[in-house]
Amino acid sequence: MATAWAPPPRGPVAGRGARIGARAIDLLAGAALVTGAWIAVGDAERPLAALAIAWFVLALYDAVTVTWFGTTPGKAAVGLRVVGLDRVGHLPFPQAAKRGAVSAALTILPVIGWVIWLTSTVTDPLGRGVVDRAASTMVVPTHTPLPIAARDLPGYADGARAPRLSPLGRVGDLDVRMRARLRRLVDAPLLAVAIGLLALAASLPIPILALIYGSSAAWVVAFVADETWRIHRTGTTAGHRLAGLVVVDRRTAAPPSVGRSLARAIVLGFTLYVPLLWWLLGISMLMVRFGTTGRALHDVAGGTVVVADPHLDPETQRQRAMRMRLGRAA
Amino acid sequence: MAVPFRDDLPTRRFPWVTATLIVVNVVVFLFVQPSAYQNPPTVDDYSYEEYQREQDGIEFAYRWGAVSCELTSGDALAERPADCDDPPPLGDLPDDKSVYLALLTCMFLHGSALHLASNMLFLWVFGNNVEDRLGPIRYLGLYLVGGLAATLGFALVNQGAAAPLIGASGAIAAPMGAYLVLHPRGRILTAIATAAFQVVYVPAVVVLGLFFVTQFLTPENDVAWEAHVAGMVAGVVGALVLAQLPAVKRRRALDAADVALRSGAEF
Repeated sequence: MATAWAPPPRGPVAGRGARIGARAIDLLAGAALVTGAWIAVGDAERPLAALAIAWFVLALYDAVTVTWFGTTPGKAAVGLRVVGLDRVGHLPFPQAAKRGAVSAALTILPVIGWVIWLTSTVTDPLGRGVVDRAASTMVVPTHTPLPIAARDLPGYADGARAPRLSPLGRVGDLDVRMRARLRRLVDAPLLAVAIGLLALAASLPIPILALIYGSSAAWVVAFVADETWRIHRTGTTAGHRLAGLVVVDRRTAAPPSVGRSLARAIVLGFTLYVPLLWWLLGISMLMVRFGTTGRALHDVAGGTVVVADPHLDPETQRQRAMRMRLGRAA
Repeated sequence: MAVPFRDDLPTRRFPWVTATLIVVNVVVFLFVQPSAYQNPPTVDDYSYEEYQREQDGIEFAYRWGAVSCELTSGDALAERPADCDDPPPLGDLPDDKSVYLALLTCMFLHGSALHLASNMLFLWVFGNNVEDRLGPIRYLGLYLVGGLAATLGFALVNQGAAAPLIGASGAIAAPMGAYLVLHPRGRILTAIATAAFQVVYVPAVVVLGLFFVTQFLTPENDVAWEAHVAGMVAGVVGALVLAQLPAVKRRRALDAADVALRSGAEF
């Protein structure tokens, strides 16, 4: 049930190089301020307090400059500004403070925080990394016309990369499918109880390795049984339905047979829950992200494809997927 | 092992009381408590300064922490109350300690950065929605009463104990208990280590039930599990009572309408 797709007009997006350059300038200025604050109120015996001071100073630097000037000195130097979605003018202080707090938290967290900032900012089609998503903001070239409507953001995102269409419909995106997995237990109370009981087993006097192997094996068995049954019966789990996606057999466009569903569930269960096989999970993720039909290893095993639910109005489906992508599924 | 990250219930207002409690706890830990708590003294290479920092830390815990046998006898440890099991191991006890003030102060102190971080995480995940439903004043009342109940519950079970009790966990168990009553259908994004390693939304009933039950299974360690149990029970009872108030019922109706609107518009 493919729908015609025309690329929406591309919005103004800040260049990645400029973003990184702006960040470097702001970091230098921030480092100078933090050093000053440490000299003024620091205490060599209190390392964590020093870290908190650094966080506070960096967050304040961001929040105050963005509130007053609409941009930080580093971003101003490379011709960028920070804007709120659906709003004209400068950010109000609470929103700027939230942005500054998240940004500073990533800055003071060595390596991990820097990697999170860099990867989330560079890989997002709009350059909206963790920081921008937390504060509902976006970094744009200085003379971009405002407001930027949040309603259009999916269009912006789609515009960066055409949605993939298979003969069976629009292909489910990686981030939507990953977030849908988090909602796996929404309509599966028995699995939720199983998780609780297995977690409780940690309190029993069992050697730690036996506990990990035993509970993991029990979980994978329960998961495979449940997943097989659900995918065969309806082609969906709760997460799929919330995202407007459905798993169908490539040949019949219907939910897969028991056998195919079982094969799919086994491969999925092992790649998801056996840490030794997480490299396979990585391959699956690359396949969903870059493959033309977005089929992961478990889809290949089951002969299935995950596509937009053909029974849904395409706009409703797109909105559900977007809500899932934004972390706002019901 | 289960670590909650967030829940899937939006809040109507910014949870000011929860945020303020977190700021107060963090600031007290970083800037008020002696440096030994965030930067443990090195035991080898025992310099006098390190020894002094360690002693400062211990004395601070005895001055501001709640001590069971002080609460039952009403006398500070320095006055050597009769019904203490084991006298504390040092000579320099504060003799001007206000025994009952410690009931309040102990719930804003933490033993280590990890202790602080895990407590604040639980407070943020569960506190914001409880505050949203109860309103800030009632919520603060629930929190403080929960903290008192937790400390007193601990003191009741360990009457002769002379060790100081510090930590917000007893007080935080109260909003956790209240969450169970007010938002039984909430779902908590939780990292789980022992049902294979995974991160998934788990029903609040399971997460909180797990927390409650594991309190009774913890092996002997430093955790004051009696305080957690007492705080959580206080939270459940408090929420059951507060939920009868007209103001709280109104908020509940608003939340229910929101849910209906969302699902009606979407599904």
